[in-house]
Amino acid sequence: MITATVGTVVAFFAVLGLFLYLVTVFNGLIRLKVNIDKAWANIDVLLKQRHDLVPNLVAVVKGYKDFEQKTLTDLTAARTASLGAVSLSDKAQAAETLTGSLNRLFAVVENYPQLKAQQNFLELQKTLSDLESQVADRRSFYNDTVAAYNARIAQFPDVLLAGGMKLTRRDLFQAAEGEKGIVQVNLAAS
Amino acid sequence: MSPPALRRLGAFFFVLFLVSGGTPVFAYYSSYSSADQGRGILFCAAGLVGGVAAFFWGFAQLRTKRLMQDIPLSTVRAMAPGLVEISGSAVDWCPFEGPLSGRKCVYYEYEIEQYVSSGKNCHWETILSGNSKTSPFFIQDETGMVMVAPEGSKVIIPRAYQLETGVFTEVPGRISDFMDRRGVSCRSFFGFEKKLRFTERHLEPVDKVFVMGTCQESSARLTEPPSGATSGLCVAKGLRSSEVFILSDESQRELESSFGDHAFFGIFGGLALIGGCLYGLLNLLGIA
Repeated sequence: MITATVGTVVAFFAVLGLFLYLVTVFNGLIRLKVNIDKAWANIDVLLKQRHDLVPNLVAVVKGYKDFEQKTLTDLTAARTASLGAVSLSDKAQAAETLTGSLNRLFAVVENYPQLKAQQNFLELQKTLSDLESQVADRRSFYNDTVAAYNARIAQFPDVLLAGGMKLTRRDLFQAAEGEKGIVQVNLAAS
Repeated sequence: MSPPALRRLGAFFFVLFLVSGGTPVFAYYSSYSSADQGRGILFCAAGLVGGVAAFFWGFAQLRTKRLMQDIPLSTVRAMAPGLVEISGSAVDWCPFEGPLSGRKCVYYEYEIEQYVSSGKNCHWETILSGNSKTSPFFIQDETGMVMVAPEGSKVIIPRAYQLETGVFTEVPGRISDFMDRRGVSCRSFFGFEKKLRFTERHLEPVDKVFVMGTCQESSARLTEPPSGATSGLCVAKGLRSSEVFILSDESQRELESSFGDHAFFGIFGGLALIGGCLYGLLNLLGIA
């Protein structure tokens, strides 16, 4: 009688424990999914700030009539492509291209000492450079979050719940290997 | 063997002891006399309540462990409002003097206990305690510096200073002055030194600090924040009381391991305690 009572109570707590464990796992998976969306939103807001600053930069540089036009055209095209990107890999690729175009512009500006010394330009350059560093950090954070999520949905026992919740692997925020190009800057061009 | 492995092994043997019938054996021997039986019932009932509490506490520890695992470590520059984990070193900005140790620190907590004995019962009783949770400090990593407002945090730092004094050991002058300022004497009615224990935990400048808390707009307006500090943001306790806010000088991995051990100990130990104490209780009450 005593053994049966004790057995029933312990079994009750064991089942309660299993239930609580499943709730913990379920909540953890939902939290990870939300974290990914939040981490992405935190990158997106910075990318948008960067897009908004590019026209200002172009306007400042355009003031110099003999400035290399191709650099400006490339930058504007990269911004347009970045704004139009929909999928994560497209956005990553577009962000990479925009970074390349900006770096190219900053490199070319080295040949224009007057422009380089202009206060407006310096401020924009600093803001864009800070944004770029922040984007890099948040991209790394986003990728860590995705990696944690991908690992979790593949591990036991989370994999059992993840299947039922129809959770699938998420992509990292990175440009496709073949699409990453080194920015070629011809300083002698101007 | 590493300390976490040793802890796990210790917890395992403790659980094994309970499962193998430590409590029922105690209950069996207690049933010889009525005085022992009364005490046995009390112990078993307390164990039962303790077991249930340990069981749920274990799940709370498991939840914290998983939460910690799910949030990657962020840099100060990458921080965005919400729950974050950052690691850096404490900045030497407006440091305090540890009230007991006298060491320069950015955060401290202390406790002064007195040894109290009456008849068979003797225990340490806290007569003075405090911390610097209302004073913010800064931590920095290679990308920036951010303010940490420790109010409401769970601080996990080892003991940095401990001293026991008695009739033949004098309380250091700095500490007795500190106690006097707070109206607590270190001497008894007859002029003898009380038996006291002094404990201090602190974070010194340049110490490694791990923080898991909520990144939010800072409401504090400091007159002279350190140069390079991220303006407008701080890491503090979230608006909901259930939000995790941990401050420690241990690494993220060490803390995860420690929470994992607590969860294992709490859940399985609690379960074993429930079973064992219930068995003992039913036996002692003669419910067959």
